[in-house]
Amino acid sequence: MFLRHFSSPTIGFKRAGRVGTVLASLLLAGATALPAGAQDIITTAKLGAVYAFSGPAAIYSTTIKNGLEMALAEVNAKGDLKIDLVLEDDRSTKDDALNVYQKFIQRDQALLIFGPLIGGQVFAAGPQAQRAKVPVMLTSVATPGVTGIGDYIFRTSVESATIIPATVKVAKELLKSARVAQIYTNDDQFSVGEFKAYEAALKVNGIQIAGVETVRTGDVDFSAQLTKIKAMNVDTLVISSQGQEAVGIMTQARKLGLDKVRFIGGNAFNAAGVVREAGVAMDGALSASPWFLAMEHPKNVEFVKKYRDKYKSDPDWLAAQTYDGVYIVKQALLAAKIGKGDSVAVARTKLRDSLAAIKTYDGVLGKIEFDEKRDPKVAGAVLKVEGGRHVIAK
Amino acid sequence: MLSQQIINALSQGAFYALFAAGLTLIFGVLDILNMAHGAVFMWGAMLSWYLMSVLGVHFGFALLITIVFCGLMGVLLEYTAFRPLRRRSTGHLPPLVSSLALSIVLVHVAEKIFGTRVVRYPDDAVPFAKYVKLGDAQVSQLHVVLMVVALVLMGALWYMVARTRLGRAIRALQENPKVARLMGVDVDRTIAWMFVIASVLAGIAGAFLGVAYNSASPYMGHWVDLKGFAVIILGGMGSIPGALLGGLLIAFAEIGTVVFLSSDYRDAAVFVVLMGMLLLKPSGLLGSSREVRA
Repeated sequence: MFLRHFSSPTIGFKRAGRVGTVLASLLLAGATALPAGAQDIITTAKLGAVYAFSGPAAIYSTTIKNGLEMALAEVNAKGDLKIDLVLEDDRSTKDDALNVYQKFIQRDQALLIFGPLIGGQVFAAGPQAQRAKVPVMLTSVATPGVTGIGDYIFRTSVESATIIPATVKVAKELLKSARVAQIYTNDDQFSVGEFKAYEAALKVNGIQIAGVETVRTGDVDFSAQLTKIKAMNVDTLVISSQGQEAVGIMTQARKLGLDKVRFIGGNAFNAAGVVREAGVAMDGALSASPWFLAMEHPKNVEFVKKYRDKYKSDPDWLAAQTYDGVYIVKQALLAAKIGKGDSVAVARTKLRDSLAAIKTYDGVLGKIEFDEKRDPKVAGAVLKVEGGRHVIAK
Repeated sequence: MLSQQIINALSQGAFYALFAAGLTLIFGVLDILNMAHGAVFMWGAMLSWYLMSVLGVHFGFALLITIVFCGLMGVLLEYTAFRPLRRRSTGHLPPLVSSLALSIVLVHVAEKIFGTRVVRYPDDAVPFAKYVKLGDAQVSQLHVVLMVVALVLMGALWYMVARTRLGRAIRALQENPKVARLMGVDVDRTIAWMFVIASVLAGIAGAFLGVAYNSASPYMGHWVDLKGFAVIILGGMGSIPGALLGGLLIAFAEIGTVVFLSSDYRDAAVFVVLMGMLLLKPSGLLGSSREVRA
């Protein structure tokens, strides 16, 4: 369509006509907008959310959806700002994440996009939002460097590297561990990031790494790698992978006779689904978490109670991060003072600036501080699995 | 630890061989790759999972239902993806594409029925769940059963092709479809049976793999398809003993790479072996290079 316009010989006239109309409407808009003042701030904001509700990453999505729903219901019930959310599934793929982003940006004219779930998807879809100047709020991606895509990318999800050193310290005191092996998914950026963070933290603590093995996303047979690890005679295995592979590695390790080895992991270990599926194999496992159920600050106590009442199950860190994410976006939307006459482009930029102005936030995650790269920092907790449940490791 | 790795490789290889047997049977006769083989395999796994964990059916009975179901799926494959195209003598490429299309449909239907997550089997439903200590190796009874089942089935398949009436028809088709038809071989019927047999083998492989690794999902067919193609190229396309040999070789190459090199190169190793084979003997280890005679 555009091509035809530009090749048309009448283009000059058409353009002039358009500019005239635009100018006139601008003048009119200005004239009517001035006296109206505060009443002309938008009361409804259309936002998009895309997560993996199907596919391999869907193991994480239930609590995200719940956190999103819960925060939205509260915000919309309060009435000072209505959020109209379009929810889409990307089937855990980069392609679909990209397609949904395109739909949100162009067709839905969303002011902001929540998600996608996995770091690799953000690296695929994020640049598109950055180019179109559409703010993005990530609530689950712990992969390093995603906010480096550009200044329109924000997140409430805490990067594993910032909380991993604490886990290793606790692990060292708990286990006096001297021999450690690592296993990680080498085709997944999130897992590689966690692997490197653990490697660095282990070295800092003077813990010797006996060996490193790798698996690939979607693998179901880990026996060769685990047999090799068994021969290393280690007392601790650090697993950096997504949930499905982590479950497979832990259960197969026990079957192959690595019964005494303690598992240490990253974000995947914090998911209730992973603990349930791994069962007894995961007993004693340690992980770093940006958030924990039993954290005692009032906002969290209230959040956990409301969540349990509504969903008859426990929230996890993803629900917490998503819940906080929605509230931070709401706060930014109110502060942005987006006018009804503002074009989508102006509204998006205002929202971005307003999001960037939020430096600290007291939420369910506790006190969140955003650094200059828009990455959140929290105190976090080191968790241990005991009898199929997470407790704080002491 | 080497004994454990050998056992790991043997059970992995048996599984590859069982999966590839059906592929190689179809390829040997029709000269086409059945791209929906992995989808049938996935259905075998997902259906038996559903029967076992949702309906609480015993593994043996679930396996039986799966076998019947996958056999019917073979008929469906033949009637939708292959026979209509064969009637029009379209050559090798269209059936490849139509079976690929059908495999996508099958995956989507599975997504709708079973959901998209990786599913796990209930602990008490898994048969032969015990592990036996063999020296310093841990051997899963289930993996041993899988190996035995794979060997028996492949033996039976070989016997069927070499000794039975249906087998003779299959070999006649392989030699020359036109002459076979002239000699009174019911070509369509024979091919339909081949798809039934191949799909049953894929279904059994799926049902066993699911319980053996306690993991199944609608997407599990993709990587298996790739491995299956590698196995039949290595072993020789169309050769049943070749599928067994190829399956074992690929498994040993994979696990050997993990043991002696690094798990980083596990997948690369397979394809290095494959490329080497293609350079040295393109017809595969046990494949006979078929000449086209005027």
